[in-house]
Amino acid sequence: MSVASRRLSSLRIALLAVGFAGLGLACSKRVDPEVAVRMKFVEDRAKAEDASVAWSLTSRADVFYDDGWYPVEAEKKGDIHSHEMWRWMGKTSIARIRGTGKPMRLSITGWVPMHLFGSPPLLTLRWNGRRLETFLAPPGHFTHTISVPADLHAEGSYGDFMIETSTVGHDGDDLRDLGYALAALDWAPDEDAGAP
Amino acid sequence: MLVPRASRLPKGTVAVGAVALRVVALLALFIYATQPGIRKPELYETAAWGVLVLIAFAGFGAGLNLLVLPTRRADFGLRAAWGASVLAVVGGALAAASAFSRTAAVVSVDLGLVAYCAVAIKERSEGLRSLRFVTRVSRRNGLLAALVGVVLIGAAVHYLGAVADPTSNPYDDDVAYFALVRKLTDTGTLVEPFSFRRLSALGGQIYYLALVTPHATYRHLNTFDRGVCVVLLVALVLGHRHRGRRLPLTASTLLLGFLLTLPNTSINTAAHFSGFAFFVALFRTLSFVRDGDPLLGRVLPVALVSAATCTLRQNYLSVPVVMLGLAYLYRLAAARKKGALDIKAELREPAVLAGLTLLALVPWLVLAYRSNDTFLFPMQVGTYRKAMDLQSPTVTFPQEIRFLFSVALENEPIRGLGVIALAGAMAKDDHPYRPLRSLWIACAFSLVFLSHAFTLSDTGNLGRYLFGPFAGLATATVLTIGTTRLDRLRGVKNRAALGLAIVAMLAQFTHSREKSVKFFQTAMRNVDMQRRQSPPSLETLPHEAFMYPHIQSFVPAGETMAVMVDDPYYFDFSKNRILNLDMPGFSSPRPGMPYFQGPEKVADYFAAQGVRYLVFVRPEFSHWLYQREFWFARMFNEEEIWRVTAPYFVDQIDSFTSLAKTRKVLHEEAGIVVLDLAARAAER
Repeated sequence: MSVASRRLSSLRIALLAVGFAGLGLACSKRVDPEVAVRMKFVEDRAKAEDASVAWSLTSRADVFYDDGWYPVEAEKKGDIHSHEMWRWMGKTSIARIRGTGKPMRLSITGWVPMHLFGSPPLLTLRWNGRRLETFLAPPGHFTHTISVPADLHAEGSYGDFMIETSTVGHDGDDLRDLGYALAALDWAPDEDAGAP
Repeated sequence: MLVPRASRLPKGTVAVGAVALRVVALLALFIYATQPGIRKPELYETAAWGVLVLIAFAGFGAGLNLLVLPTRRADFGLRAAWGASVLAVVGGALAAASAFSRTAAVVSVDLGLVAYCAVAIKERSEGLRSLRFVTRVSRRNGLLAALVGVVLIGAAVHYLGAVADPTSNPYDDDVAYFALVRKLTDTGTLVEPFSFRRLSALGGQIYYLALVTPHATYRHLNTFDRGVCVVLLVALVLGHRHRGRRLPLTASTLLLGFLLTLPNTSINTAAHFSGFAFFVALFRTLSFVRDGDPLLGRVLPVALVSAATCTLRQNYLSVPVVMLGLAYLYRLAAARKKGALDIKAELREPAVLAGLTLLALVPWLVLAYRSNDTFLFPMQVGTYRKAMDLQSPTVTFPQEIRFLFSVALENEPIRGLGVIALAGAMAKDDHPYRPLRSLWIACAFSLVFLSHAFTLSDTGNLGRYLFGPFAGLATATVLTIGTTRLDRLRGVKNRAALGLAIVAMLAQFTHSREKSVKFFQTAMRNVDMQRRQSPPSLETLPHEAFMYPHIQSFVPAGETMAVMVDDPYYFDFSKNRILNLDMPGFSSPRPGMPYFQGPEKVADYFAAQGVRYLVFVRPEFSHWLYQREFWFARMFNEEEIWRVTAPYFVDQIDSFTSLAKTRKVLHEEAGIVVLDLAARAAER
């Protein structure tokens, strides 16, 4: 290997090192403390200006509505202050939920379009693929609560909460697969955990 | 066989006559555009001035050509791009020294025109040669010549349509870009620490828009990007040669048809077609220079075009850097292959190029620092608010990959981008710098980088940001394949590249047909409407042109005022130090505007910044951007970027509304309030 070629190889290595260092810097993420203040501001304004339902159905710091969800709908289109709001999902949906490292309680409120099915569908709730519960959906609006043990979610990391339904249907001209309509999702510490 | 017909006049006389005709025509156009005594609709005045700006670019470019490459003549398009780049450096220096003005803009264009005429006279025989080429082609293939004529008429309609297009984007142009143009012409510089739009580009595009303003009102500012730059593109395509071979006229026609019928996805006056033109210019400049040229001739035009491209949009920055870096690596590799590797000698040229590019950029970097405490955003954040993270915290790696592919493959407006990129990867690129291959990789890098850095965005917007380099790559691909001799296209790969490029362009026609027809119809309707307008006078000005100065008159001259209004460009920026709060949240000088802490903290912050007067539009009166209910709803929007942005708008609007209750209101008109932050409101 000539001196020039060796120099060229060193140049390549140096360029690669600089490239990777740059990439590493670009990829590093540090959340600014103001983000939490901003989130609190949004929550407070939502409560003060009658938009709590919209807030609960919108992605926020601890809950991120990911794949499988349709946009939020309201009884009156575009009315952010409506109390009747929901978001449909098809066969499956994922909400990415930020872990706390503590026992938590997860509640979902909503309904299944029973009139499209004829029989109640089976709903399965999973956390990072692990089945937590399966139940027959009752008619009308219902709330279902499950406990999520602390060992399933590390503090600050996001876990995949998946809702699966056995049946989907189509409503008239609406071509979407409709499986379950979520009206509220609550992620709160499980006060009863550890109690005898 | 074509037999040249004997001319009845001596060659020299014809050449002198032809150049005299060009100079007289230019003078006539100049007088028509600039003399207020000649009454004409604004449309014609701006259209004529836009043409003069382009010719002035070519004048400066011709000067550069003669200076650094005296033995080789660049075509009109390349010279215009070089001249525009020279002016970008001059403009940057003037703005950095707070010395730009409307007069400076006029003088720049005038000097360029003088240079153009001087060079035209010096090169009179060359002009004649071009004329002869056109005549020869028309005689040889009348049908093809007619087709080229149709395409050129299309370009003219494109140009006039851009001049006549009165639309502006209220969220971008009205609140920010026009105000930046006004700031530059009124104050000579571009210091705007609260403006996110100022922070997010070095300012080259604003400077080019300012060059048009001496003979264009704000509603004609589409002239530069959608008009002048489209004509520049046409010239760049028609002038391309590789190893002395022009693009065949059939290919030129196909390519120009492709370019002129691309749906316009530009939504404001920010760099769009200018980026496209400058990337084609960069590719062409790198293809134009060759080993035998003097060092300065090889590097200076490339350095200037790279620098000018970087000033247009911040996301363009990575493309010239990666492209030129690769070009020299290819050269290095070729030298190594030949066994003639002398690293010191090989590194001299890229080192000089990097140095000159940086030198050309220095005025803009200094200006950026003066304005936003950063030499190079986003590498150095400056006045940017760190909490406004443009990366989603929840996005996973596969989601990023999915996003990246959707940006590349669902690209608007170039639907066949994937196919063209494939053709580009397969095309034979035998220039020592491998300009096509280098641009290809630089575009891929830019795509990956932007998709990663801006995961909160969407495919449509990222496609728009990347339009310049991507469209440049598509054009460079066709130019490269089209100038490769067919008999040299040996092997399946090269022929496949040719086939893919043709298929992609034809498929694009099908995709664009409906939008193109609509575009040309709208352009003609606008031209027709604008040509019937009265010549510009006080009576033709909008009401805001009187209302805003009246509102401003309540702020003492020389005092600093912060403004959050729909049309700040109607203010006189030379009368007061005006700080435009265009997009709440994104940018503010250290320690940063306080948000979510109440109005008093905001008042204290302004006091610390030397701002005594606040002018804002009440949310219920705002036409567009500052409507509270709009932003309140956006706090619960599906798009994460709006959920990040909206709380700052809501909070700022609330703070200002509260301050209007506690501070002295000096004046209120059409919902625009003038507050003296230092004076408390009288007890009610």
